[in-house]
Amino acid sequence: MRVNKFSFKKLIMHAILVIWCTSIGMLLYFVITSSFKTNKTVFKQLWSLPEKLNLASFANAWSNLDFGRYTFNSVFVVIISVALVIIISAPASYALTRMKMRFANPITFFYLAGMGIPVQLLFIPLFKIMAPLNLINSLSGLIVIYVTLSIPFTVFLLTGFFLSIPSELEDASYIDGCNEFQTFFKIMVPMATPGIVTAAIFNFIGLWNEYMLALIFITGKENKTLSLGLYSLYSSLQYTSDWVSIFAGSVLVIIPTMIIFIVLSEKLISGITLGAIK
Amino acid sequence: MKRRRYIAWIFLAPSLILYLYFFVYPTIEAVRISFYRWSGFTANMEFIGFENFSKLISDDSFLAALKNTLLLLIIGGICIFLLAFIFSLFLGSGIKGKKVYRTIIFFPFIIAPVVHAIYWGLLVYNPRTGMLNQFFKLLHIETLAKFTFTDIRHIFGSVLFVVSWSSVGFYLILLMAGIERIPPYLYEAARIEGATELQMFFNITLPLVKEVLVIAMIFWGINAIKMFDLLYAFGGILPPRSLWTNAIYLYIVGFGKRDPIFQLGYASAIGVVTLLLVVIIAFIIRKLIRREIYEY
Amino acid sequence: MKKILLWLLVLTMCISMVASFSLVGCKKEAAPAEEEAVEAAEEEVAPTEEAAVAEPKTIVYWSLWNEQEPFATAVNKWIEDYKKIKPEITIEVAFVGREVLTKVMAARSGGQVVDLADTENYILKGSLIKEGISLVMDEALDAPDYKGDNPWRDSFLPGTLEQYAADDGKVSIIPYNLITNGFIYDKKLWRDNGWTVPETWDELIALCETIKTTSDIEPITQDAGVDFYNDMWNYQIMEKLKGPGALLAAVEDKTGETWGDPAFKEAIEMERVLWDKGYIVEGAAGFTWPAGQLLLASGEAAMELCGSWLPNELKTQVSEDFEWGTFPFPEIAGGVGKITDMESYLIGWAAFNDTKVGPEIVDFLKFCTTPENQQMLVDESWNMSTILGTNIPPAIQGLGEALLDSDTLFIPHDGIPEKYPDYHKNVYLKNHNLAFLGEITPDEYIKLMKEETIKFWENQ
Repeated sequence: MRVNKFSFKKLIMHAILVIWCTSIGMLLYFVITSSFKTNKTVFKQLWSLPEKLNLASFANAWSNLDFGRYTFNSVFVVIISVALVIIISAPASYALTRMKMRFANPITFFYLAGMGIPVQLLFIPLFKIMAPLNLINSLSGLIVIYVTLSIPFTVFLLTGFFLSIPSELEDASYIDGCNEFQTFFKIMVPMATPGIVTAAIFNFIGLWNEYMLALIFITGKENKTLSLGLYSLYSSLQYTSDWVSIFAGSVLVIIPTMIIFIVLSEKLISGITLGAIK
Repeated sequence: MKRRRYIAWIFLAPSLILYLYFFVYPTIEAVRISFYRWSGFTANMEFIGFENFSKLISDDSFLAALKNTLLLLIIGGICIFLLAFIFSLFLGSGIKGKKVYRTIIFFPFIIAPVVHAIYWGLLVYNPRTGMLNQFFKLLHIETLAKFTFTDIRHIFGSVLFVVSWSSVGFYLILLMAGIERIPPYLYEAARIEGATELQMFFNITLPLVKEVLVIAMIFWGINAIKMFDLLYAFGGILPPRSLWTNAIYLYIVGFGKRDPIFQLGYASAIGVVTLLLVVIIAFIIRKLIRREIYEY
Repeated sequence: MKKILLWLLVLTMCISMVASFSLVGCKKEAAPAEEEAVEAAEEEVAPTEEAAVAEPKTIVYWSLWNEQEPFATAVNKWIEDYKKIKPEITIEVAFVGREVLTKVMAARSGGQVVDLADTENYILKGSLIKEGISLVMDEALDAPDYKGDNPWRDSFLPGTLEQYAADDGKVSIIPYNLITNGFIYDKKLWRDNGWTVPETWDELIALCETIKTTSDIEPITQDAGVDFYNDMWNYQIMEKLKGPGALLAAVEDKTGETWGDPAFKEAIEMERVLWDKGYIVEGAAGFTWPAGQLLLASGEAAMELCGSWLPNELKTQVSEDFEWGTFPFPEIAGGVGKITDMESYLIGWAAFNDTKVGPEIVDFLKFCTTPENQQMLVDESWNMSTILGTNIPPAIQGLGEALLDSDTLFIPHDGIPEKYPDYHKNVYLKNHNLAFLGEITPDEYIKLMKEETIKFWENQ
């Protein structure tokens, strides 16, 4: 029985998806067009295209507002934090799920409970700990905090992925004479790649937009991150009235996340489907 | 070769050390603070036992915030997962442009909350010039054309919609990751036996996607309870009372942007309650969706 | 392959961590031990009355301003100029933003040195003054100012120093920025339409009626989504009805009975008239900031009751021929308050009493509060200065003149936020907002205020 390619069902699905995506497209349109307008016109014609492309707001954001340096700081902090948190969480997740530890369940729960703690509570106690270690107002300090705060979620995610890897592969590897480290690196990590990529993407997104902790622990202008820069742009509206820079800044902030997402999501999905085919 | 049990601890060590020192220890401190009255500015801390907690119970603002938190969790969760499932079904049924759709749907998730607040507040929900009101005016539906989406009564619902709208993409990706691992031969076999789409969904898709579903739901649970940035940004200068959830109320009581309330002990008590809430919700979710691992 | 990549990654990580740790050494906050660092040894010591060899000192100053704001520009200029005069003093300024006290709180509990902070006076009062950790400035104020002619105290607008004094009368906050409250409008628009500035409440209502019936312009715009903007109506009306302190008295009455005074109910009823007659733009209840004030900028609304920062906030949105005009809150017939009673909302500095550089801070602050330096700030920020001898920014001429002529200055929200912040946020603003927006009737408002005041005091 030949299936008609032009099915009604598919049309409805496309219609709904298109309507939904249009609503998202409007947001994108608004942000991008507003960033090219001037402060005088940005609220006058909310929907119309800018009369001419005013790149001044981007230039202003990049140099006067130091967005160039902030971008470097953010990239540095976030990429290292993401890499580190995966490097230390993956072995932990593996140990908790596949190495038949005695207290695996309580320890796992111990890690996961950390996900529920509101970060604001920790400002003051953390400051007390970090100060004697000279980790205040330094990007390294911020990295330490970011990594630690991301451990619970990453362990949570990775334990899920490690659990679903069939144990025969593991047993086979041990029979072949590999020790624990070799098994981990050669077998488990490749198998868990979709999980690792997922964790990387999600951690990146979460940390990229984080500004509260950066606000508390970073003081010097040279150490500020991008999201913090954007936030201070917003809170200085009262006396600068500079809306277009906020839009320009937001566009600059989104670009890296989009790139990472687009590039890595392919790997994510392809990795998963590859894993399903044995 | 015999597996050495202690190796597991070596694997665990780096994360455990960091976690214990930079996370657990401050948390214990924070919990300890909840038994005191403290402004944070001096070393004087006054021990008051459980007084902060008993104050919580009779605090109308806290109870309203708790109600908002639960509403956000439950209703937001239902909307998000419903939409995510629907979209994952659409996208999984082999239509063209799947990757493009998925990327676009995901996009709002990574936009700074400040931008959402401006866009939705000024362009969509504004009673005079906003899209929605103009739309209803065009349709000549008077009551809706004058509807104030972001007034004191409705702003929570309106923001709930924004939260769902921007989060769907993320959970869609998680769900799709789970669904795409289901081998197609299961579906083919079912189709041969004459099962409908709906039957296949409930009997094949749903059970096999449980793992990922648990992860996704717990993640949502935690994010909903801790959600701060979007709600904080939505009022512009400060978050309106109607949008207060546990996380926002904690911040206002402890640090407050414009109000020198500075009651850190009380704020810590709110934090402890929030933590308990998260643990309970996570526990419930895991119990409800009993974890079964299907190997295939 | 993966393994090599992984090790490479770890190696890079370690290298960068080592690198940044060593960078940390250079960027460390100057703890008192670090003051040994030789400061500007090459520059010649500027001529001062002090000893020829001046000891290098550092002032750690955290500010509520953001880097981009005009205030930050002014502060940076002051620091730069001061460095030329006193090269041995280094001022480490950090423009933290409005969350400055949260950060200060965290830093001090971690043992980090913060000497000087500035933020809104009422927040300083509710934190540093309340806890008794601020540096008392009375002695410094009685000493000569920077130029050495008169006591420092005399440079300030009368009343501004005492406004936020501690309960025992000691002054710790040095105010430098002065914001007031009143109506903002477009002079050109009013001129074109023949509208005149009202001086009594009845005139205001009549004007609104005229505007509404004879033009397309909305009389009053309001960012009704912001609870303390809405409260401006209430405390202004209460001040004009019963003078300053009436609201505070009601808050402090543990029996709640003071709320029974008819004036409180009358205030709500007056506010509701504005809504019921449609003088406040329709749909304002659903505005999210800054939707309301944008209407003033675009000429769709005739006036807005707001703080005197508004012209600066809207300056990029107004058209070329917009003329900024301001007028004070009108008198109410039968009320005690006069039209010359003006709000004084201050922003200032306070130092911590455990600072090691007290005298240096005082000298720096004296430098910053000279009329010349303050004028720079006034010009950039369009806010008035508390220092006598500075001009009124043209945009707020009307309010500024009224302020200088006034003999009664009152504090915003009747001083409730700094004394009872919890009450202010969770009882007063909550209920007033409901009443203002018409969600509860004036009677219900009074009843709620009575009940919740009693409950509040019981829980203390």
